[in-house]
Amino acid sequence: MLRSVLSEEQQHSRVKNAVARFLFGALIVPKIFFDAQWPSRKNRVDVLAVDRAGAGEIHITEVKVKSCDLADAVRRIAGIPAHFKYLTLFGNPSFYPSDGSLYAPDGMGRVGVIQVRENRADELHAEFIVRPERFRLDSSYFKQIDKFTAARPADMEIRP
Amino acid sequence: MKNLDPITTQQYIEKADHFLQTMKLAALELAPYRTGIALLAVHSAISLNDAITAGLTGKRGKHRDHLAAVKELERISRKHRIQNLNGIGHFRWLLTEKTKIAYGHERLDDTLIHMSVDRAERFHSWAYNYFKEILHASVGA
Repeated sequence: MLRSVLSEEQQHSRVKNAVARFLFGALIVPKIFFDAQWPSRKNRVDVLAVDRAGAGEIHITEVKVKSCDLADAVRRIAGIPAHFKYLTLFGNPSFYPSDGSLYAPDGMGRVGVIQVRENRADELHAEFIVRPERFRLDSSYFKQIDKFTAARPADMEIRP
Repeated sequence: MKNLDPITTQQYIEKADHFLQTMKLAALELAPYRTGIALLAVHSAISLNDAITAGLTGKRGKHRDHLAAVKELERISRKHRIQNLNGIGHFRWLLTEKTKIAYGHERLDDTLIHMSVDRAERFHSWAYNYFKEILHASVGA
């Protein structure tokens, strides 16, 4: 398969593209941003999607291409403000979260897990292995996401 | 913009979501659902337009003459000084094709189905971009 000749960075980008397509299909006319500095310049998420052309809920995902400290990745993503948070995996087929690390401390919210697989035609397909639950988010983040979407053109969107 | 009827707005948004999401799902496999896809596209736009109208006028959409709904949307858009009126064109196109899609005896061609999906999605994008305050509050976001 092609992935054996691609660098890790190229694979990472392919997977970001695949998960963006997956979210684009699942949400209502979302605006999608790659490598988004969210919620501040100090922090970057691989894919950020804002539902309903920027008027809806905030979704974020981090992509992990090879085996790594997934518990640490879950902790990191859990700390980023969003309504829906996902860890996207590629090449980690044995991972299945069995503890409570995916859940918000107050129980309101669960990090979703998306598995991306490559078929024999070198096409990537994403699917949920853990469905997300909505996190509680302070309403001040809506003003912040409005500023974000106004300042930066989306990488993927349905043009009005 | 102030929402005069957030509950009705929310109810229409939900209907619009159901139509749009079913349209997208069916569109993954065109052949068995062709006419249904196009009709769902039309109804997703009608429901979202009803959400906007309910929010901004406090009245529920009762337009049997669909082109009257287009004129009402145009009036609302101009009143709120919306510069981009592309969404009205998408809405008019969908309503104009509704008779052919729902009642015509001829088989629909692929182009019409793809155009219906495209127009519906672009209408949704337009509505959420330019009536954000009305639709934003209603989706609980």
